[in-house]
Amino acid sequence: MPQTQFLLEMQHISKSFPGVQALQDVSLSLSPGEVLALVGENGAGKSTLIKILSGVYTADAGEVRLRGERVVLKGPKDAIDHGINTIYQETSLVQDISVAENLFLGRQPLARGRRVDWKTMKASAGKVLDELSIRLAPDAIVAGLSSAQQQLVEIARAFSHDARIIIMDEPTASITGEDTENLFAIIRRITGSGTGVLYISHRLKEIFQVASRVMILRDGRTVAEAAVQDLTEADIVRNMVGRDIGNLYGDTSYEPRPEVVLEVKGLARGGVYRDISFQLHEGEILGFSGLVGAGRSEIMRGIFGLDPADRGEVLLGGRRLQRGAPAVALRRGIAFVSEDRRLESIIQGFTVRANITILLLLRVLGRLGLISSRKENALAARYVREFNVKTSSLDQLVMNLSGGNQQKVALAKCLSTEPRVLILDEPTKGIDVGAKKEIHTLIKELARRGVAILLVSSELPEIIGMCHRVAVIREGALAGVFARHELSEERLIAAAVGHAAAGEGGNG
Amino acid sequence: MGDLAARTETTGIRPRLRRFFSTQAMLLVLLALVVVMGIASPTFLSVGNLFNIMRQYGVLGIMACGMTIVIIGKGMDLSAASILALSAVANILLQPYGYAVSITAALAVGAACGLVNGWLIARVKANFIIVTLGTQIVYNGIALIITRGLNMNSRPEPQFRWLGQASLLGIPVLGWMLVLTMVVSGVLLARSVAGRRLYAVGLNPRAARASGIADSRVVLMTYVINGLVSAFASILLTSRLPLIRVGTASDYLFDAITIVVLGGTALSGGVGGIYRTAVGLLIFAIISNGMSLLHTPFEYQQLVKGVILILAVLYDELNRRRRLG
Repeated sequence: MPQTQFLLEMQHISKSFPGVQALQDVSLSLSPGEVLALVGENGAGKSTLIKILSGVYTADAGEVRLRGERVVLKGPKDAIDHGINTIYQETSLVQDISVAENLFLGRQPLARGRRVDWKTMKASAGKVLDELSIRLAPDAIVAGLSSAQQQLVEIARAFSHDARIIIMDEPTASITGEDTENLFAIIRRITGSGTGVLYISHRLKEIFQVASRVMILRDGRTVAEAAVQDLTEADIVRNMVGRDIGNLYGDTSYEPRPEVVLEVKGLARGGVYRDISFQLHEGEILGFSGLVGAGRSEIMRGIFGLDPADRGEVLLGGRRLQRGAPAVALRRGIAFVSEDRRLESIIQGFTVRANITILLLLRVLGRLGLISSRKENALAARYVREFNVKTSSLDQLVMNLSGGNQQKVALAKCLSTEPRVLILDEPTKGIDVGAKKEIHTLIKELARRGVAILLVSSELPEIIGMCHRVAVIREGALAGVFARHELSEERLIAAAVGHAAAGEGGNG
Repeated sequence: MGDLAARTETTGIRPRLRRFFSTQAMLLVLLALVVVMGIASPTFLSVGNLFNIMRQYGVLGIMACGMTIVIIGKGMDLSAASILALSAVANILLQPYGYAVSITAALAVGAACGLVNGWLIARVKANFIIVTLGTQIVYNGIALIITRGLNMNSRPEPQFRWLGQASLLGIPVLGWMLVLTMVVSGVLLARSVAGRRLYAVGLNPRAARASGIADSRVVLMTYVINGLVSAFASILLTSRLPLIRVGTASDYLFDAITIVVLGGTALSGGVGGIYRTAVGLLIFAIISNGMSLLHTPFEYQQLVKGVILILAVLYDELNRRRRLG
């Protein structure tokens, strides 16, 4: 076997599940110190590919070579022993113990008498963290760390396992601006020591910041592979969806109407947010930007009444809205799509039909005041068509749909009530580009028809591309409201982290 | 993401078969039991025995309907049999004032007991197992104090006995009552707005709340309904067996839960229905009735029932894993 300069080669990998060819003849290679970005829509085969590499699935055909040597990965543990570490979106850290204990879980240094050698463990943990310039105390308890910090601990753990290949599955899905920068700096440090990184993200912008090469998957095949400097964002998108989807955020050339639909006055909830006041006009998209944890979602929940505010008021069409009563808010024309798709915005164990009609049951009643299957089917079918939900049938459980389609169901459900105000909390989080574009178009279309929209998003390009105005929340208070012509990423970041001058946001 | 694999589960013969067996397995068990018992005991398939089963398991079947509703709401009511006993006591005590008064009182007692359970669980947010374990003792205790542990005799006038002992169109009235309860509760669960909301709350109370459903009121109502259903069962029971002694009702609790779980209504909430409980009831009734026909000693019958409950819980767990993929 000739020596090779590649850390990893996957050759002619195929994998099928009953009825679906998930991967077909996919090959990739990774050199030491390289960051290879893997992009594709949900269902394109990225997950399957990394699951094969991390030993969760076995390929039907093809082979995996590490430094030119063929290996058969017998399971996740085997993959780790071969130096392949995967960092998933959900943390796999043990929450109640310290950073150092997590780094050395299952392989604690022992002192005499088989006791855990705490001193050595803490010292080694400190060394690993220092090496990566991660500013965390080894004895900090994991549960007290932010999700961004926990991610860094996971990377440190992988690094301390002598990982030669680190797979990162959407590491930035739940973190923002500064933390992302921090993460990238650490990725650069790991690759500096020769480790290869396989990086998966839906945020195309990041790929240009962190990756050296991009491989694009569509329908289980490789459709393009190139060095990052030879590609534009538009190239990637076109290859992912197989067509030109034009301007990502669509047409913005219309103005909201002058009528105020929603007015929030001095809204506050102890220790979470305070003094929130703003007006929302008919047809306006008002963005809410800020760091994760600044209180944006909580404010939205306060307006809708899920976690009620303790002070202030919400006026809808000039009339006061009862506090803490989502049912009343819904009836009066406010709809809310939660950030937590899995647990809140839809009911995973319900069918597509039952999810769509849950807010409109009173409109599908037949004889004896019972739900009429015919009426219910008709209503659900109409929304499935209108929102282009890809599902095998109305009876399909929502949990079996892709993230993008689940989100469309959540939107369909909310819009079935024909709301005047629509609150969207991170509506495109973890959703592939094609579905994202559809959702953006839909939001704009709604606004054009006069629906007033509050849009919380951690993606700056999205918020800048979509909104008429953007409110920035910092530590629970309104840090500024910017009109469209004032919007720039630098300015929003600066306001979010509290810098007076624009453009310094990244350093704080 | 794993969504690919999940989506493909709807196609192909083998996954379909697997799904059929995992969701309808109990229907096959039921058919097998009917065949086996039909062969083993010559009297099993007789009309007389069928009516006997209806009389014997009608009250239990009605209790199981109430329990199904509570379990779909992600709860359980361990005090159901005590409510049955307490409302039976109220019924019998007030019979001298006429059946209208005594029956109303029994239903009121059932609803009040359910309201206490529901309030503690849904409003105070106390754990449903501990709450109903406590009220089980309390309701039973009250009944015992009132009766001083003695037997109570129901007034055996024919218009009251009719409920539990007579036949209508050749079928026992108790059988009619069971069918009526099943149809009403089944239709309400499957087709009413309240029923749909209950499933939503059982599956995911947070998402239900975000959809404007008052989840705690829904949960509270399930306990009130179960209290009423238990009271209704107690009225039929006092009519069928004029002699009641507090404490003998406790078997109903265990058996009702076994039937619901056996049918496949999920203990984790939001999945199941009366149709499943009907299948569970038939399996349970056939096994118990069969054991009686085959003269199985009481101790062994208890042992078999315990094993059935454990098997039913294992089946529930298997179903839960299948649903989660």
